[in-house]
Amino acid sequence: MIHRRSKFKIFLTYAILIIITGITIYPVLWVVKVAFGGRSLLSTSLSLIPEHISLDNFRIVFTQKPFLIWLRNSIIVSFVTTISSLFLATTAAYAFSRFKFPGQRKGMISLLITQMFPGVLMIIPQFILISKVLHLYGSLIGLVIIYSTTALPFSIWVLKGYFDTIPISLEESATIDGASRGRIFWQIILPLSKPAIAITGLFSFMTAWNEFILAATFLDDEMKYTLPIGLREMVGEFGAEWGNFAASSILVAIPVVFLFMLFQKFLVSGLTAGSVKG
Amino acid sequence: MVRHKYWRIIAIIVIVVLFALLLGKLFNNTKAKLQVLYTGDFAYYISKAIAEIQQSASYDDSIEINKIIKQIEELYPDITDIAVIKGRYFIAHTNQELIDKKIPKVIFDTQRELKKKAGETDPEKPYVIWKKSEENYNLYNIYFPVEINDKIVEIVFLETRVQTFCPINISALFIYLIFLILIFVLIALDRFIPKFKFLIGSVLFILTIILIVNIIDSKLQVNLNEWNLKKDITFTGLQEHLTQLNVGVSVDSEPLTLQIEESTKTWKFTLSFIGVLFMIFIFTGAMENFFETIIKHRLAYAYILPAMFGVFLLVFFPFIYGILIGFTDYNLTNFGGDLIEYFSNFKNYGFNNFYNILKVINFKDYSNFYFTLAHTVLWTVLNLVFHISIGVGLALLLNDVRLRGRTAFRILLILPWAIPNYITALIWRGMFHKQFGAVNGLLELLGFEPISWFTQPGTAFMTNLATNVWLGFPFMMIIALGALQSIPKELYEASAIDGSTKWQTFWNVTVPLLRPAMVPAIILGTIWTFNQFNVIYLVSGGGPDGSTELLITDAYKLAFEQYRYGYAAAYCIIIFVVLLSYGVFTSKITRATKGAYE
Repeated sequence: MIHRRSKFKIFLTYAILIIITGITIYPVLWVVKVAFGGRSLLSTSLSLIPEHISLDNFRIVFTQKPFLIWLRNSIIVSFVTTISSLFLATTAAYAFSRFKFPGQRKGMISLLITQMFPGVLMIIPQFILISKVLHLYGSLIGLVIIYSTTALPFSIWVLKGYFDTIPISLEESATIDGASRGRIFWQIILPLSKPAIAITGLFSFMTAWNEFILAATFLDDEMKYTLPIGLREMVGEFGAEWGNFAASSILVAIPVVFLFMLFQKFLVSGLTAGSVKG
Repeated sequence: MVRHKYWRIIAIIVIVVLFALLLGKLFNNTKAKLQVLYTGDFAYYISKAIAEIQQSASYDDSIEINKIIKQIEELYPDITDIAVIKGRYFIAHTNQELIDKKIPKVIFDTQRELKKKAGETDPEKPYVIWKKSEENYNLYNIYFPVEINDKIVEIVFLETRVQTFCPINISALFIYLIFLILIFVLIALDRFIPKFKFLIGSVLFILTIILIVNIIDSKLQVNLNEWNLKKDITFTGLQEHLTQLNVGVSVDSEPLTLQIEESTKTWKFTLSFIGVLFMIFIFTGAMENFFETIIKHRLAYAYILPAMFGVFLLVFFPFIYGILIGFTDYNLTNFGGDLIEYFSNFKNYGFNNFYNILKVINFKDYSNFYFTLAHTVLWTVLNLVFHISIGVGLALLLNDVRLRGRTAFRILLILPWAIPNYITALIWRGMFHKQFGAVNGLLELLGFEPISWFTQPGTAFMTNLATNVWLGFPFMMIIALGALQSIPKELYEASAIDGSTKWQTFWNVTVPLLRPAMVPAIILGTIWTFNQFNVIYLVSGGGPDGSTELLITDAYKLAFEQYRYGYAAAYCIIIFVVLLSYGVFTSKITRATKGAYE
């Protein structure tokens, strides 16, 4: 023990943490309150317990809104995006990490530069590509195609950073034992990089689950909406159904928050493994 | 190894078939099918309009024609041209929506009756009187007899489907790409390719050239002079653009001809240019080297190919196309116009968008570029200051092993990161709601007047800021926490033994060791915050009067609310340049400081 801390200091630490945590979770609890508050008029009361608890909002969301259809759309889009982008990112990151080939550095730098491309600039050409060339306007496949590639550069960078930390000697001994590159990749590298894969998979999933602009631009049929647009409609210009919105946002956020919490122990190791090395 | 041979044979067969398909697609004209007869309402109403005019006027060609033209122009402002030849009134229009409408029942009924009267055997079928198919175009003249003004008049639908010279279409492109990928995969899998590398390389190269030339030069001039149309119509692009429909009323049924000229000049020029390049390429052995490299590193390229292909197609290509658009005046009406046209007249248009955006410097006008830029910079700086100070501060507090409930605090504190940010944004909009928002509730509790947050620029800015600070600090916290945990304890002990104060330890041990992890996070955070679309768009919506607009939301609104695509693209290019110079600047700075610490 280096310093003996005074009680005041300990108290102060806890006080700061509790206050900030309180501020952090207040909006979340507020939404819970609104969601369970039924159709009662909203008030400025700061209390987090609704005056009377009812499940009306949830009932309306499930019965009167196409919530389940939006949910299905979002699930399809997110899962397909995650799988395809993980496949693309791991293979590419492996090559960038383990092979020496002309264009390697340029490739990585060009991926980094793509992160600076303003998304809005690309929506118009992407729109043309998807709707005019591939004839996928209003279809979820179009969204999947775009989502899986937009999340790629970030995923490749994170994964490459992680792969770099796996000792090459492992592979060398596997090669001596007669394993092919493909086997090394699938049976040694991938199992060893679970944290990074978990994180990039989570981010791909969240990109697809949360994306708003592209979906709003590419989908026009209410039955094809993903959750973000559907929820936005609820508190759009013409009606503010805050109760319904709160209920559905809880339903939408739960899986993501759950996944996030499940993977959060990987957050630090997965994200920073490559960069801390500097 | 027998299995390997089968693989090879299958692969070769697939390639040959694909190649044949590709050639077929490239050089053969797919015959346009005559779809369901359509044109409907449009033709019907025009014929009615004509009939009305005919009823009211005495028969005098010139006067009548002018009247008809005027009336039709008033009725249908999107008609591109009207032509009159030998008693026919032709209206050219390319509005696909109008074309797609089905013929109303009335016309079919009239037609059927008339055909019955004329003794037709199959009155259900509309009859094609005249059809002409040439190598590059198909013409259909379809006549419907209709009764107008007690006379049987025929409405003529002249449908023109023009195929481009060497009609490239998207299926050909895809076959080409599959072919390309297959070759790469084969190179990656096998060793037999080196023998044929030159052959395969040449085939690939020629195919590429054909494809490029086709994309560049798929242009046809349709000469409509014979019809007295005011202007010629140029068809550009893919097959779907190439249908034109003319509707007219015919008195005699002699077929019309349509002259089509291929614009071969650019085609020949491009071809010879690329041919010369190709020759140079071969003779200098560049291609030899090129394929040598690919074969040598085939495994690596096979691994990165799928990802790079996707990134190129959906990130780089749109980016380059977006930049090209920035030099045009594309808007809702002329969108998709000929890019080559714009760039061959570069002097006329060129930098107009940029000039218009940058010329007026006015920090009081909310829609002015410089105001928005200043606002965006202020927004980014303030956000990052809060993100870093809160994030690092919390990380320092949480890094204490003696702290109870660290995990619980950490989990609760990363909650904002976990919740979808559009939901966060909408929640905060609710929290700042004037009547029932919790923020005003707190103000009332403290005895202040409730504030109408979204009507003042300053308060609206604060709502955005609060939302984004809440949203962004967990990321910095997690990164800082990770870096702190990797700092060896011995360093702190050594520093304590040397008798340095806590403050000194912080500046001399913690900060330098935090830096390598924090710098990339800060750069990334800056770019994210600079382009933070969701918060602005969903919380304040850029209001009031666009005072809290960021550059990125401004650009989005220009493109998708005002449909000024060219202008919006130019706006985005400027944003990109700003960010890029920031990136270059910071990478230089970090390189410099890194050197100082090592």
